[in-house]
Amino acid sequence: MTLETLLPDNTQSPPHQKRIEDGYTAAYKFVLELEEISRKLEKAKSILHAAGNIEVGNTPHEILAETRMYRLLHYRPLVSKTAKTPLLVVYALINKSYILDLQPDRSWIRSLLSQGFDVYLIDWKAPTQADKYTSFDDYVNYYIDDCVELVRRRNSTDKVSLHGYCMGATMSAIYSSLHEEKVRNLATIAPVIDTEKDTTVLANFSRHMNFDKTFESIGNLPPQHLYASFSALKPFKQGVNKYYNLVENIDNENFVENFLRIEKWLYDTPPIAGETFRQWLKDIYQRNLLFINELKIGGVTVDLSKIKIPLLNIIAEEDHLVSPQCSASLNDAVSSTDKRIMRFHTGHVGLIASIYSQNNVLPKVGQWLKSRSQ
Amino acid sequence: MVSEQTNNNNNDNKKEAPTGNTIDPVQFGEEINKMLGIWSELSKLPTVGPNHAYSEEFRSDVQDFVNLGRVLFQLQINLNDYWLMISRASLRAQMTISNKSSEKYNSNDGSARSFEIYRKIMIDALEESFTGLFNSSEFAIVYGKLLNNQMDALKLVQTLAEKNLKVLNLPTRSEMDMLSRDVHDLKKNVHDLRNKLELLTKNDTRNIIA
Repeated sequence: MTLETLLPDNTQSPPHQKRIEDGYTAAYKFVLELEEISRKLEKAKSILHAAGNIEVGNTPHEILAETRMYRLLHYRPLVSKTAKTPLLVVYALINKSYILDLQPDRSWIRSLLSQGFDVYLIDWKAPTQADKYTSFDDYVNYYIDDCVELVRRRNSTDKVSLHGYCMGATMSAIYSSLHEEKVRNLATIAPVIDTEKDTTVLANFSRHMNFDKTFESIGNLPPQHLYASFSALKPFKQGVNKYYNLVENIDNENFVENFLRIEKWLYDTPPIAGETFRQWLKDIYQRNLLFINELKIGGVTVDLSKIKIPLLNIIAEEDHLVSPQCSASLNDAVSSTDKRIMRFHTGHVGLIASIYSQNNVLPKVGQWLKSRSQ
Repeated sequence: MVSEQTNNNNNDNKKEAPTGNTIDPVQFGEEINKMLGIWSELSKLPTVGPNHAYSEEFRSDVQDFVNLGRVLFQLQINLNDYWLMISRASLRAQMTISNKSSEKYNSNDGSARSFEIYRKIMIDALEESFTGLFNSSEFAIVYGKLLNNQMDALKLVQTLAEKNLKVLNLPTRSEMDMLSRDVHDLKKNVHDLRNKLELLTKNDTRNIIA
């Protein structure tokens, strides 16, 4: 039976059968809608099955150094270099760094290259259980420091600009306070600083957990624990709703590709080294030691007030992973005279990987950095 | 008001019939703990003679199993609290959905019956209810306890497994941990030494040139 057979035969219908005809038309429309939903669901299913093949991080680069814990990437210039000081991007330890180079029209890295910066990126690798004792001391005083040294040597310069995102921004701030002589500018994106002011769900959860016990029992923090915490962040508006939107927009190629790239990144989560994770949540989140200048890294106390270099702090007003007020405190903690906060009406990921950030955030960030990179 | 009255009535009923068929979870918990305590004490009783050495391993295993039982019991209690909170949040959301969707339905708005409006109401209500729950310290406390129980249980299972590995003369987790720590420290030392050597070589070269 075809769908058309459900339609009333208008040529033979007497006028008093109008209501019956309306009923037939409504039923016909309903069946058509069902058919359309089924088609979209079927298409979504096949697209999602092949989702892992989507390409990310395509901006041309070379691997300058590779160890078991990180890769240092150097991006090929897209235009002639106009900023003298090289820019070292420090990514977070949560998920993968390709969010900064998701796709050509939403690439943070590509935008910086097209503004004439010489861009390097630290791409962290997944730690194994043998690396459970890797701490912030290793990340800051060894891995970041090694990368800074390599960039300085390669560019024959004494200083680099540090540009960190989220946890990477916190590590950049810590590095700057301990090795300021090697840093010209510090540009942070959504750094975790004053956790007492953090009103996010993650901060709430972390206040009531025993991280010593977690470290002793499971060593590295497995991705499953991170998924459980992240799924509590806007569980319906960003969790359930996004799949509905995918089905609705399944014929829009751009929407689907962008969705798949973000989705790939969201669930591409390496474990976090046990000792680093313990320090991160116990010392920084529970005790707020970084903000009160009592955090110890490699036996040395981190004093944020020692930072005197130019500081740009980029904050998302709708950030539900790191509260804006938690990040903004960095500007109160440092002693820099040249410091600025830029606030944008977007979220934690939207700040770095959206059309909005390309049009509104990056031109301003580039301008600020360029004027201090000559 | 209605719910308060119901609660009061329940309390009155409890007072009137304390020996009913319902099980008081607190009392039940105390009883279980008491029982586990007895087994724990029994396992600690001193033994005499040559059997002492042989029974030592067994006694520590019993103690671990008793502890595991305690932790699993606590885990169950916290899991119940966890699901109770989730169910309440879900119920709150369903009440909001039902109130708001019926309001829209009665508002003579032509489009109110559409699925899209219902979907939005549903998502908003669920989001509000669950975000409120996840932001509350009560939930965070229960969630924290639940995770702690899981870690405790895991630790006890690991302790039991370690004892068995020792029997097989295999390296245990603690021993592997010690090695990991040593390797980690060694790597740092080598890194520092290499940097110092590089610096010395640079200085030497400068001195030779000078």
